[in-house]
Amino acid sequence: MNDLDLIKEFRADVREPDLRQLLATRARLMRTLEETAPRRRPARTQRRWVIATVGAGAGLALAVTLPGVLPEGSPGGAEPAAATALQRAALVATDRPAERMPKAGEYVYTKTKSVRTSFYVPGDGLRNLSFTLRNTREDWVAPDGSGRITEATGKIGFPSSADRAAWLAAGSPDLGQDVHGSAATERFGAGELSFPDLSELPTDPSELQEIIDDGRLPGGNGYHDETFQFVGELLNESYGRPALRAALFQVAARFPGVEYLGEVKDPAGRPGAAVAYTHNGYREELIYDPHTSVLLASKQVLTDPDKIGLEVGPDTAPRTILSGPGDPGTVLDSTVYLKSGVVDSTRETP
Amino acid sequence: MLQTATDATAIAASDHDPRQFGLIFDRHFANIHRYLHRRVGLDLADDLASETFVVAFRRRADFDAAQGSARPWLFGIATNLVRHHRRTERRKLGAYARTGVDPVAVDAAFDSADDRLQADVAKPILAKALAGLNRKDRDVLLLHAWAELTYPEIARALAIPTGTVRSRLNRARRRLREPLAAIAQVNDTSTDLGGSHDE
Repeated sequence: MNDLDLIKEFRADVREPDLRQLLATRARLMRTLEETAPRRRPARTQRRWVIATVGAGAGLALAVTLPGVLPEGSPGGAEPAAATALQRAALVATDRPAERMPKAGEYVYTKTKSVRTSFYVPGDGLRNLSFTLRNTREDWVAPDGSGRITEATGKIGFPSSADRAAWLAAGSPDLGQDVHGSAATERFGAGELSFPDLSELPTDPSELQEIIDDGRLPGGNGYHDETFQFVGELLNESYGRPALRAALFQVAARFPGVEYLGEVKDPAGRPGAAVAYTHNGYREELIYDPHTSVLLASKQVLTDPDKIGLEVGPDTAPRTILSGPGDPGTVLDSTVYLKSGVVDSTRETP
Repeated sequence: MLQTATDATAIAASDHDPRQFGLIFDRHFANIHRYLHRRVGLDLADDLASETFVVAFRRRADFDAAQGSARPWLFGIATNLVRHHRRTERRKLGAYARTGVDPVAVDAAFDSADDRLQADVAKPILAKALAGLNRKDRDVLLLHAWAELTYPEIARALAIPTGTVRSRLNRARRRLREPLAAIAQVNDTSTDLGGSHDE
């Protein structure tokens, strides 16, 4: 052993910082960098709104969807409590047995219920109003992209009597949806539905995050990409891959300022744990079962209406930007994942 | 299909998106932390390792993309931060030399009683020798031995000529020769006494 070897061995047995500590340090550091960095980002395409132009006047119904953009100038890293919770969820996910992957001729069945809030901007100095749509949906999707979707939409609702009064005052305009609700079943041939093949996705969180950030996901429709909710959707679709689920929780921990909301009940009343990511005027919440790491529900809550800016179009010209029709705290979307599993036919449920 | 960003591209991208700097953290933090832990102890290492990345981020425009890896650059920053704490570093080495207990690694596990015996006798001698080195020589020696940087990398890290790296390293090793020879003797003795430590 030469002299350098002796020096190399000196204090070679110091302890490594543990993962939890590392995540907390990372989160703190990224916050510091955010404060250090100038707040500027290159402009990105913002795919924002599903728009329906209503009536002959200035009236517009605006169904708000989430912006497909990265947070403005915010670097990554969860709050320590969230980092701990998500790290634990990742460990739980790793320990779970792999679910069965669907074979040819089998279907992945999912059942979701959602409530979505949209806005109507009557113009002419009249009060903006909110209305809600309830939707229950069952999907059967085979690996070849064939399947069946049944969808039932409930009656249009109003979050408050003031919203209903505003709708009446505006002359009960058509809100672009069947006021009395609707139900439909549709069948799809091979290749008509997206069955994302997630089997090739990396389980290294950094690599996975890069792919999500770049929108390079299989079957990605360029709509929800880069959002926290999209991580949630992938969690829901990562059949049979515990390691991928674990990596997704770790990716979630990298979103800047992700908070842990603690133990909550999901909109269906089931107990879970919630983490939230606030950006661009929204808070996106993911509620999962901490014992199984299964995603129970997701929610989007309006936090800063002035930040969201509603883009009107594409069938109105010129495009108009309206800001903040809703009130802070408005739940824009709440989706409950009720059931999922592999079944033999589009008539069966697990 | 997967593309992995190099340190240089991540640093360049962090110019308009600070999140990208997370990649630099993910790649290098553990090594920087470990190096600092060995030099100044855990508590200070926690602070200095974070500070290293804050300083690096602030000075990211200075990073020479031609270097490829940010590793030497980060170790250079970390080493400069240690300079403000060289009294702490020397004090801890001195305490180890006097007491035989390393304040930097009090909870480090020893494999066997033989290792402990050897550590108890040999390591304090080395601690004393390291404490006695000129600060600049110690920087170069430890960047070489602990950070495993090459001569040109150390030169870039500390912004000194490669020739200077070589002369400082030679001087450090010369000054350590005597105490290290004493350690070798101790090791031989403990082996003769029936120590099972394999070389």
